[in-house]
Amino acid sequence: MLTGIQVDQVNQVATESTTRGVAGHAISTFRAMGSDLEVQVWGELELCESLIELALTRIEILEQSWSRFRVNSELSRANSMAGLGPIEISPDFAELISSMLSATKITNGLFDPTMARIIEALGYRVDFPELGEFTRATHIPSFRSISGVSLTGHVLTLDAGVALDPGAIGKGLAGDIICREFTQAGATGVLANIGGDIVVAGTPGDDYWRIAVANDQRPGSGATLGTIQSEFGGFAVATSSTAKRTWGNGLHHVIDPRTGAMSQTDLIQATVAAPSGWQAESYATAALVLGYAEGTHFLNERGLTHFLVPAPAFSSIN
Amino acid sequence: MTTKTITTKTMTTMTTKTMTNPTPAKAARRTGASRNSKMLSASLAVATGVGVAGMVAVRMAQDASAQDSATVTTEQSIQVTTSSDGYTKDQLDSYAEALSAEATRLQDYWDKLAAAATKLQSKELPTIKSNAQEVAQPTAATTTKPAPAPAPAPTVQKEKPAPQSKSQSS
Repeated sequence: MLTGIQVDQVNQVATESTTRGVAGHAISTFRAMGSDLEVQVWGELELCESLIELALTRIEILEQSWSRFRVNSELSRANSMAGLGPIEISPDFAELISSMLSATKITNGLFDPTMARIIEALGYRVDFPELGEFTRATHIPSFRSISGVSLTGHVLTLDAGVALDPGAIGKGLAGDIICREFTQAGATGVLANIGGDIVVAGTPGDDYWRIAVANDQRPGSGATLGTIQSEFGGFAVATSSTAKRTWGNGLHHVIDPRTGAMSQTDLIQATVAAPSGWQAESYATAALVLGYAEGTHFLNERGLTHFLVPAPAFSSIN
Repeated sequence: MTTKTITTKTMTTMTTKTMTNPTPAKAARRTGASRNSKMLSASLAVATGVGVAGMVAVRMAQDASAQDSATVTTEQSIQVTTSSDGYTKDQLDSYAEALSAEATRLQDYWDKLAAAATKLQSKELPTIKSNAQEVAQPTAATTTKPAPAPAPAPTVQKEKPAPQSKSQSS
């Protein structure tokens, strides 16, 4: 349960006094969703302090609803009741389902949230920090397509055999929600970094946004592919990679919905900027599944800023 | 610089540092808060209403289902009482209880968020400037091309000011 989780949250608050009051910038870092998270808020000082204290609470509420690794999460309960009939779900969960369905549409099916059983069979049954047994099942099941998922308002129906896995879309959407709610509360700028998926809204004080893109081909080196910058917020940058969250003998978590098997292309990293976190993550996953040539075409067609990194074994042919 | 430690009810250890930032901010950027605050009341009211309505209990969703699902719903209702694989009362109660607990938690969050926004609103900042909707597709500082290997990534632009954050796979 959430109350049993020990979380180290570090908040930093910077202030500057002006004739109109105190402008603030607050940073909160903590661990949740199996990742390192960071929320930065700009605006009136007292508001900044209040909001960063609420950031962890909000993320925990979302995680309790969306986590595949918690047996009592709303997602796990819904998966366990697939085929039994429609259930009423919370607004947060409905937003996640809606985003997953939309992600499938905008990626032409290259993102598919119904492959949870395949991922579990490959061994990805517990969250990475727990370092559980990542044993591959001898039989990899087929998956039911997105057609087995129906959402009407807050009523969800999963056909028998359907099990949902939001993948990293949950992280992107969590960033969207934090940015949306905190700007509605009055923050003038918000940055939500949810395990490397970054969503920004408003403006960072009198500065402009600069989001560096890490190079997963050189992990731990601090190397970056470049910096995405913008004067205004309202965009997100997400990275999908097969270089991290790996286990066993080269197994990773990216599944190609066209084959139901682990994706094997000439890319190890796709980083995409899009209007929202869940969209950026969807497009990044799609590009990773398509490979360099098709992925580039796919992203260019949509006018999306991106970085694609080929796998070393394929670099000579690109 | 002052440092204080707060322990929250969720066992979170929180360290707050206060420091002075020598860089002045533009007042216009800050004043967007007032307008956003006013928008919050309506937003929160809607969200809270939806939350309460949506999370009071779980039930078979006859009324809310699509019009053509009436027959199907009836069959599913029968499943609940006859099939060992169907919903049981315990299942429904457990699910409803979990949803209700989370709804309470969410409501508490909304209350705190609204309180923070209301407090800001009461400070009456002098001018209003929207800060949220002027969205443009961000541009990359480098051209979009794959990083050739094994050579280091080319055209990496090292920004003089440090980036606020770094995107990476989790």
